Amino acid sequence: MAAQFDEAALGDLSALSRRFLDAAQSLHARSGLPAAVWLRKGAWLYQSAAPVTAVFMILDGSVVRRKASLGGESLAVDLVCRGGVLGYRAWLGYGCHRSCAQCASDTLVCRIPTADLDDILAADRELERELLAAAAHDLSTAQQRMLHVATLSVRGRLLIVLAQLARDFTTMNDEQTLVLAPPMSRTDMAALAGMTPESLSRCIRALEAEGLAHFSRHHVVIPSQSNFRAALEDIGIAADGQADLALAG
Amino acid sequence: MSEKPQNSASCATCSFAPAHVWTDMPPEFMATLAERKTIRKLKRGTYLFHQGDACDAVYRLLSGVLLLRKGDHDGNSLVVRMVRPGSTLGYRALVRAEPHSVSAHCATDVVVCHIPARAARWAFEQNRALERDFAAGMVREIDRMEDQALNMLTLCVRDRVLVLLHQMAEHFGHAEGEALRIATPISKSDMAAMLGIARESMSRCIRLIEEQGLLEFHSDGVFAPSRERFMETVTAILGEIQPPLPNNSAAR
Repeated sequence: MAAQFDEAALGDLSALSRRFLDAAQSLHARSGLPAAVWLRKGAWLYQSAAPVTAVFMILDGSVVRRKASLGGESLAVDLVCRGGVLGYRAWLGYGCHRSCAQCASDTLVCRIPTADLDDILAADRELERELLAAAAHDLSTAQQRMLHVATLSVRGRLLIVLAQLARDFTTMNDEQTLVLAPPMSRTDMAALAGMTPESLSRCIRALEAEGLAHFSRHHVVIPSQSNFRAALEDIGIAADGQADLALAG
Repeated sequence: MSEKPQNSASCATCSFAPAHVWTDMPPEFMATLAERKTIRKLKRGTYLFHQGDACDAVYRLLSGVLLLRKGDHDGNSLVVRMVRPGSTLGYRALVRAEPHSVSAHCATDVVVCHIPARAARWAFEQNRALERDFAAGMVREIDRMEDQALNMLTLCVRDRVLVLLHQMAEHFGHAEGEALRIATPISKSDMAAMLGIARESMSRCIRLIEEQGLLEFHSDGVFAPSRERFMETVTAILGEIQPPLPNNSAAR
């Protein structure tokens, strides 16, 4: 665990983040411990099969959630960014984790121990409602991802992942060009897009040949936002807003 | 569509809700909930609700099997899940105050417990454990989808088909001596879409599985000449994460 956080530097928080942080602060005020701490890139929030001891809110940074496949390979199933909740679903459904969570970048995490969670939620039904609504949103996302895997090409799925990454990992955004700094490996990116690393490599070459995106080791450059948006519209994504895009316009 | 609603039995005797949900609930609560909910029977082929419909109720499936279908603007439709007895439906839409994100299609004759949205909100406000039970059902649904997506990514086409048929056998399997007959509730095209494979790949895969003598595909379902061999093959694919196998007592 690293240094305490500067709440003023966080900027606007979502209603859920604000409420969660407030609950954690009142809880931790008794013990004198900080309500949120910075964790280094690579730190683990929890491991698969471990009992759920806390629910986490990501205030800054990002966490990659991985699950083991039937062959035992650990694959990324989710990238949880600012405002995301971790551990709540496992607490509701099982009492133990069915995935592991690792910081993909330096991450500011607010934590409420499960020993106190039930009392907190009983006293703050609005927080409980918002946590349940966030879990319900995860179901919509999972359904949508299944539909994409079944109906879209690998190219289309990679375009969607890039559009989603643009929301949280854009380092430069002028009128025309976007520069993204995804916090995860290409293997993780492939898993998030529902494809093998080999398919991702072919797909990257295809997008580069089209001039839609250029990939380097740590960055993805989208040279023309309008062309990128048009490519998404071609696969019916931007038109119905399903990708929750962060692209300008 | 559905048959006339019937008055439901007492919630306290519902075998699908965990007993602790009703602990300490006053008789007035139980009486009011029983008064507001109804039991509905639907025929095979009908829909409980359609994608885009407003959420006016939550449900618990008491018997039968439902298929949740999701469509997109291009007319693609995918069976995202088979819903089995004990599962809850409609909770996501209720919590999000959104329309249903999927259609619920009856793969068999179906019986559901229908709780109007207003009554459900009232019941959940009074009884957090009851809402937790519905939320836990939603969580398990998310996990099943994540697992399914992982299978699509890591298993070969043949293994995906076998795992799906194994899951279907739990509810649609009929033991016939040493053999097993699976009355698949969805078409081969739906199966292909559900597994994220092209219909042509599905056809090739079916030929391969038939050549291996594992299964025979017919218009009305799938036949395993040796139930034991089919199960052994699937067990090898699933490794340690094997779901319950259908046995003769469960097979209908």
